[in-house]
Amino acid sequence: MKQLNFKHIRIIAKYHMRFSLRNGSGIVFLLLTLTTALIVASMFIAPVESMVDGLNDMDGMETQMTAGEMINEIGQSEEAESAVDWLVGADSEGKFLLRDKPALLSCIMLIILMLLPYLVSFGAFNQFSGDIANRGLRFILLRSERINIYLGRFVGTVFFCLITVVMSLVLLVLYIQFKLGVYQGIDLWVWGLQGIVAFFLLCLPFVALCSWISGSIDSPFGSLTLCLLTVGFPGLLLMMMNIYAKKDFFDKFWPTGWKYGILNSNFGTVALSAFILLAFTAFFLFIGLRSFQKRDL
Amino acid sequence: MTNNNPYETSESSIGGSPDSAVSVQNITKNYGKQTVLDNVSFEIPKNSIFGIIGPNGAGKTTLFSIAAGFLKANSGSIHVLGINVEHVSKLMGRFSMLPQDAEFQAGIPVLEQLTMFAELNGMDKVEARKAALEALKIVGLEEVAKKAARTLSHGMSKRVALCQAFIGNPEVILLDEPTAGLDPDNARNVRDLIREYSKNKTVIISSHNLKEIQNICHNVAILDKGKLVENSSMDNLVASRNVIRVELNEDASAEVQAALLALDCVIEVISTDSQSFDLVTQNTGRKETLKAIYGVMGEHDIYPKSIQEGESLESRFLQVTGGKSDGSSSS
Repeated sequence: MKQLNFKHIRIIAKYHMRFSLRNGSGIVFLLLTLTTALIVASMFIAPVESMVDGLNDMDGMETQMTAGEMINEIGQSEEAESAVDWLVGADSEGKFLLRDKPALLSCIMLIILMLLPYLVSFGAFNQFSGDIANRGLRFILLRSERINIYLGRFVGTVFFCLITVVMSLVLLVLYIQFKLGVYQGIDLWVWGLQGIVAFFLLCLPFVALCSWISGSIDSPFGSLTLCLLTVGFPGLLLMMMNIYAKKDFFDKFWPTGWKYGILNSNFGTVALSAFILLAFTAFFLFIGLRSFQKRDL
Repeated sequence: MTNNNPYETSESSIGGSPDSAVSVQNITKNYGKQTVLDNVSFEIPKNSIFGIIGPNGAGKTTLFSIAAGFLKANSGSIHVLGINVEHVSKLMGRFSMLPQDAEFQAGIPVLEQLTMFAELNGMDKVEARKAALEALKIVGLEEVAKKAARTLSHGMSKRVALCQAFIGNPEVILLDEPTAGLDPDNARNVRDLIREYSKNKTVIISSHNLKEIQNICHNVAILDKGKLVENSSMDNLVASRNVIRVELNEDASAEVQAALLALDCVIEVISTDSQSFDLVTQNTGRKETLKAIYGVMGEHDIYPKSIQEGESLESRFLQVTGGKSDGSSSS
């Protein structure tokens, strides 16, 4: 820890953010995340809109509802609540997420939380692997300790994720507010803010995991493949284990098992989930850093 | 000293001789069962230009990479300016390197990358930008400052890589194959730059171009199969024996070589290729020796293309590395 140099970490993080944006991988991650957010939102809104339009077009059938009101109505149905309870893995959370909070934003956030680990892989897979492959990292290795390089690039990637997450949620909230106009503005923004925290906290362990993979593999393509597999494989395994009674138990051994905790109605669960996600981050960072410090570069 | 966890202690960070810019102590590096460097030790004096040569696979780049902290040695240590290179940030700005084959970030302007390096050397942003521009000016590439690295030719990239090594006026500079892959004009420019900017600095160069090493360096170490086989000042190395290099316009016949060897003043004849050979002579009257040699060649109706006194680095290199002119072929 004596080699830790915060000035170096700041410089490396700043330039890593800037370079990844200009090299293209950052742009891909940003556009992919924003596009995903909008596609998920339109998946909920578009069918209802066309249904309302269809009803309005029928002779003598003037609906009393707007698309937003209809979405809200559907969201507050028992079927929707049951579906959310099943997804979140808690019995009473459907009511909280769909009735007490803006239902549409809750649903969109739940879907994006499922996809976020994969999206993060696109933003974090090339923290080191490309520069190890072309030996460009050697220009920096002589100027700073490995711990500063590793943490600097991790911090840079995390900040980039934070910017992306904030942009996605702001875009979503604005889209819902102006498109549907059924929610109180303040409710929507406060819930969106909690969504930003949830998205950001879920990004952290996966960025740290990708740092570890990217720092261990000399090929960017190999790193991306392994990041996606590592992020996705435990999820697939758990989905397959869904038939077994202990699925919820095993789910907790991977960060994705805690992804909905930050949006929970119980503050204790929110705090515990945040703590566990941070603990996963620290664990992946520690292992990745150890491996990066020992390996030949 | 093993480097299982080089980041744990700070006591090991200080060492080496105070007169040395670089102190290499018992460095061993293995890749699996293959030993690439075998207990290599030597000292590089301050303010000198030091050449490291060796055949392909001798371990030159590995040694440079360990010195720069890219690779971890299995045992041994390297101190630069008295500081163990495992703690490289303590040398911030005092030690730099031109790594072999390292590439800049393709889509990023050169100036921005150099500014980052200068900031890591301890300069503030304004100072760093100025230093980066000055370094580009040194290598004559100010006009590419705002261009992306991918738009540079190989020669330009090499010069930019060289310029990053000169940023911030470092005291010790490692140059790994600085002229490799360059056309003769660019190679000469790089050599001139090295000569010009190596004043009051310690520059360590690895190269396959032995003539280049002989012309630039004050000292030289020869590595072969991971072992240090020679370490000497250039003057000592090339003047260590009385050698006359003879180059002919035709093949040097065994008969001529035998006749030359029969002279009292000639100790050994070493073939370097079919049309040239080195004569190792007694340390007595140069004039008489040359007269006798010319005489023998005249008798055999052979006229030399050139006769050069003093051993070349190349012939010494071939001898110590067991090349084809290692003495065993002398007639």
